[in-house]
This record gives sequence, structure tokens and C-alpha cells, in this order.
Amino acid sequence: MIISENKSLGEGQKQRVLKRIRERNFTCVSCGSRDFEIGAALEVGFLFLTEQPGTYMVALTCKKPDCASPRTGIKLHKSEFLHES
Amino acid sequence: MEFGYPWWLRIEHLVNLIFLTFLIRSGMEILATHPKLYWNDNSKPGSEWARFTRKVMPKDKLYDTLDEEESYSSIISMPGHSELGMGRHWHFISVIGWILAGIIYVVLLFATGQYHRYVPYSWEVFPEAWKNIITYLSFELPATLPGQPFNAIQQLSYGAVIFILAPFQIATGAAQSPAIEARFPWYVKLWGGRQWARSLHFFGLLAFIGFIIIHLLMVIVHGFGQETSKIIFGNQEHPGYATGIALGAILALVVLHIAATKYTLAYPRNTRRILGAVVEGTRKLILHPLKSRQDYSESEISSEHRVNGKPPDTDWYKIMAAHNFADYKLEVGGLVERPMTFTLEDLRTFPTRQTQRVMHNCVQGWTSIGEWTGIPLRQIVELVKPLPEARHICFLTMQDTGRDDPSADGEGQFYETIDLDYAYHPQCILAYDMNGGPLPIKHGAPLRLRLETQVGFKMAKWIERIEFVADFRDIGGGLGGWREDNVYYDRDVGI
Repeated sequence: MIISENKSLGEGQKQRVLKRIRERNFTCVSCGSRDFEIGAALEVGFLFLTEQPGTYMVALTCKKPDCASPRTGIKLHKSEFLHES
Repeated sequence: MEFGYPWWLRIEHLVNLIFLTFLIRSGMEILATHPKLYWNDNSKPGSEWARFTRKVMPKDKLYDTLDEEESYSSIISMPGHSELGMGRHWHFISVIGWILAGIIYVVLLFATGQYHRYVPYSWEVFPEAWKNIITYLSFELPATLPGQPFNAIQQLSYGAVIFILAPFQIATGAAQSPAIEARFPWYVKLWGGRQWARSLHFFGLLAFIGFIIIHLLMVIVHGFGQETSKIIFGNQEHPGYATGIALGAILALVVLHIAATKYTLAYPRNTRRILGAVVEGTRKLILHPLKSRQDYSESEISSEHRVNGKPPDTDWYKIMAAHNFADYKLEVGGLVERPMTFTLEDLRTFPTRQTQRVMHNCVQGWTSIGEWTGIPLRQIVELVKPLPEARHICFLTMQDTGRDDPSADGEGQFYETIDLDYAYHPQCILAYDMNGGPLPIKHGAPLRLRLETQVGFKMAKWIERIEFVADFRDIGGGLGGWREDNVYYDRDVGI
């Protein structure tokens, strides 16, 4: 079940997230992999004290089969990935 | 009959004065914690009919009702400086003393026939009372009623305060107890709802303040020495002594308030222990056994349920939330035969689900109505099998209050404990859904406690571990919960 606060992403949005992952050299904390499946995005800017408005936590799942802790996430501003065009 | 001023009536007058002044000041402290009044049980932001704050809440950031709290001066509130826990202790100890004194007073009034002084026996009293008001406004003193110690307006005013206003305040105060509201929802609806009861209680407060001011003014107008002589010596023969004693008594009352306020602010833990011994015992006796029987209709659910407390501000929690809490694990252990761990999926696929539409009563005074779905806590208890020495259940949460909620007065991991028997209450559940959808983060996702006879802070949100314990004195500050440790709330909070 998707929690109501999580936003499903379209294909274009997922591609932009992948681009940001590459730009930031983001790697899996557990196994070091750079290969992720993009999940939903949670707006954290409104809910959490230290987050800037418009910030999202995008769910990432490491694709490496033997990764011990595959579920992670990357924080992005909505302007970095959420627009449709 | 000879009315006069018997000794017990004079003592009652003094006792009443002490309790009433503490009730008024501590009542102001309670009001300060949510300085808004409503005519609806949703307490929706912006729907208040009265506000005693200038604070403006942000629109682009989650705020909670702790952010809305006001800090009033000790001059008007007891003890002042947004010490709700202490204000509650003073209010409830004064309520207990005031009601006991009131019962004794009314019994003696009827046993001695003195009640006749307050009861009008003719409709003529009402036009006569109006004439009395005109006389006062003409700077003259009206005559007393034949064979009575009072004039008509005095008789009506005193009678109304004793037989109408005082019971009205007790009744509207009781209607604000979550335990009473949960067990007898019809009673609260009788008043028009929980927030109607709170607003009416506020009008009762204003009526008492108004009465005291006019009463004092009238004592001066009628002759301070003579009038105080009646209430001190039982006759008007000693106006000189009476004036001195009365002024001394007023000074002593002021000193008592200052001393109680300073002690409370300097030694909150001691104050909680001393006052709590009486208050908590009374509450356990009267409110603890009440079981929730609420079933609000779907149409009564609040469109915007208010929030108290902010979610855990850690990347770990945010990542888990973004993954729909797939990695969430609830550990249940402590004094149990079978420690267990549950995933959210385990909890969601439990054979028993329970849904309840109930009113949430925040300790601050606001309410909202919501529908909650989850597992009855008793089912978890039956699975893990507490050992015989287990007496309480401790809910440890992912919230670190100092980190997550600067408006809260303290630091450290948020936890709360409840007595084990509460797990068997019919509307005690571990909720994972709210209003037909998954539990929102701001309301405690992925799991929170719902215990409908208690005020909101006991219903721990963002739960990560449940411990069965024999004694809560070894946990945190030792008072039975984060709020108890840090803001000195009482532990069993059926009101």
C-alpha cells in the first residue's frame, strides 16, 4: 500500500532522478552500487523541521541482488525532478 | 427563622475564597495552552470564535499545537509561564477541595434551614431585584427583604452563584474529561459538544470573576467594616477589628498565592508529587474504570485533525516513510514469555482489525474527531504473554523531542507508559490507518496508540518498541512518560 503522502513518479521524473544520482555520484551506502530502481517521492519540506520547503525524499532501491540493505533514498528539491516537461 | 452568619458559613466563605482564586488562576493557565475557543468539536484552525493570542502560524511548514501555546504572566495564571502540567495540578486539587467544601456547605445549608436565605419564594422578588439595581445606580442602598438578611438582588445573585453557577462549572468541567466523554458521549452532546462545554466553562469563569468584583464593590458600598464584621464575627458589632482582619486576610491570601506560585515554579517535581498524590488517587478511583463507548458518525469526522508533536526528523525515518515503511519493525519485549517482532505487513494482516470513530481530546483542550483502524492491544498482550510481575506497558517512539519539536519543553526519546489493564479496554488499539487511509506521518505513522479514555499525549506516536515493565520509575525521568518527566503532567490522565 502506498502511503497517501508519497507521490508516484512518472517516467520523465524518474529519468531526472537518475540523472541527479549520476551528477551527485550517489552510491548505495550498503554495497556501493549506483544502480537503483526509483520509487515514490515523499515531500519532507513541509513535514520535517530541518527540511527546506519543496524538498522531497525519493525512494531508491538498490538493484544489486545481494545488497544487505537495498532500501535507501535521495533528497532532491522539487525543481530538480518533479516538473513534467 | 433567625438567619445570621453561623460559624460554619463564615469558615466556608473563607475556604471558598481560597479555592476559587486558585481555580481562576490555574484555569487561566489551562486556557493559555490553547488560547482559542470554538463552537465546534473539530477545533479547525481559523474556526475559533475567540482567541487570546496574536501568534500567526506558518502555511508552508507543519506546525503543531505546542507552537500555538501562550505564556501568560503569573499575575493572571497559576503558575504562569506556560506550565500546563503545574496549572492542571493546581486546578484539579482546587476542584477537589472546592467540591468537597461545596458539598459540606450545601448539606449544612439544608440541615440548618439556612438555604431559605438564598431561595426566592415569590415572583415579586424579580421586579424587586430590578428596583434594587436602579437604587444602586442612584447611589442609594436598597432595603433588605422582610425577615431576610439580603435585599432581592443579593438573594438572587447569591442563590444563582451557589445553586446554578457552581454546579454549572462542575458539570461543564466534567464534560471536558476524555474518560467521561468516552464513556458517556451523550453527556457531552447534551452541552452541544466538547468545545461548547469548554466555551461555556469559560463563560462560567467570566461570571465568577464578574461576581467577585461586584461582590467586593458592594461590600465596600454597604460599609466594609460592618459587612466584614458579619462574615468574620457573625455580627456587625466589630467593624474596626473586622476591617483589620479582613485586610490582613486579603494580604495573607496574596502572600499564599505568591508563595505557592514561586514554590511551584522552583520545585515542579515536588509540587507534582504533593498535589498529584491527591489528584491522581481521585482520578484513578473515579475515571480509570471508565471504558470508551464512542461511535461517532462518518459525517462527524473532522476534515482537518489537529496535530500535537512533530515527526522524527531523521533521514532514516524519511527513507523508511518513502518506502512505505517496508523496513519498519515493531519490537515487543521486556517482561514477557515470548518477545516478538512485527513488520507493518504482519500488523496489517492480523486476523483482527478494529475501527473506531472517536473524539481526540488533547491535554491542551482542543478536540478533533477521527476514524482509527488497527489491532486491539490486548491481542498483542495475549501473544507475548506478560510475566506475572509486569504491571505497565511502555511505548518507546522514534521521536527525539529536543531534536524534532523545539516548542516542547525538554529533550530525549519520547515515551509513555500506561497501566497494563488499559490494554484490555475496548477501544485501546495500535492504529495503522486513519480516516480510511494509511496513518499520516504527522499523526504517528506507521503505528500509534489509541486509548480513548486518556488525553492525547498518552497515545504515543511513531512507536518503535513496546516494553512490559514492573515499574516505570527506572525509565527516563521516572515519572511514567516523557511529558510527565519534562512538563510534569499527571500519568493517568482521564481528565
